[in-house]
Amino acid sequence: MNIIVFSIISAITILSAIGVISSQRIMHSVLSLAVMLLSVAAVYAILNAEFLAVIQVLVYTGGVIVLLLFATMLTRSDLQLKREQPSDIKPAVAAASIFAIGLLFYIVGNNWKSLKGPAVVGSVKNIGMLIFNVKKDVIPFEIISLVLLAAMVGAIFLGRKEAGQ
Amino acid sequence: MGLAEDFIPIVIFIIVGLMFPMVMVFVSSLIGRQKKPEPDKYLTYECGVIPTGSAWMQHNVEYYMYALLFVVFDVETVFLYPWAVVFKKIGIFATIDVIIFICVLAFGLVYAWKKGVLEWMNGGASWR
Repeated sequence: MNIIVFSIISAITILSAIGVISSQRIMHSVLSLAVMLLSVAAVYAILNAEFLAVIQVLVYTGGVIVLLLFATMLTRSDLQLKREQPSDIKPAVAAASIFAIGLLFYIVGNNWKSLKGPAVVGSVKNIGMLIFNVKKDVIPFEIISLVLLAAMVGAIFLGRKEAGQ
Repeated sequence: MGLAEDFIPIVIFIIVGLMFPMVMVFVSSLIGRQKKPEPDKYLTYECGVIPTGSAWMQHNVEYYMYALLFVVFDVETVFLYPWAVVFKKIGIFATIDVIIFICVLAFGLVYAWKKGVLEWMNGGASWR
């Protein structure tokens, strides 16, 4: 059962990943990327890593795709993306092939049977208990909010400067 | 196995969500089959107004500021989600923790408000 679901999801992932690099229009590429990120979230879900799946949907499909869509909206339409064949793609193809073959050997060569997957560790409840139940984790948690605040203020500052010109 | 059963509602939701627009487009293509084609009939529907220009125009940079703010609060949600799940189990201490967290980020929203990020510079007109 699980292997069938996994096969379907990975087929969708690979097809949409091919769609990202082969679409003629940038909007279709972004849409394919969204589908790909969602199916990666589904892979996390069948591995019982539900928190990771939720984060994948929230941050990647929510945040990154929104940023990409807005970047597309802000560019001028006369800058239509042209899929030009790069002059020399042989080194890139060679590097990607070597990497893929190496990865394949690594995957086949390892004994993955011993890994049972994060059955309970990845659940939202456990992560919540870990973050909020330990007193010493309070300071790091508040520092996260400061980091986010700094990122937000910095983005607003830079964005306003651009817009003001 | 394990979690797969829990995701059956989500799978049904996805299937219905995909089927819904497909059926809508299919049925309207059945009903609205054009007997006498005219150029006007092939115009893109834009609430009854004759469409002008391309759908892909350059939008205001203000939209991007909204997107940036959205992403920051999106990441905030990631931290609030596990808190909401264990809310009943943990004490008041964690709640105060989270309230401080939200307050710190609210300063960012106040800053954005003060800087006028949430306002439109040229009256909202986004075309050139």
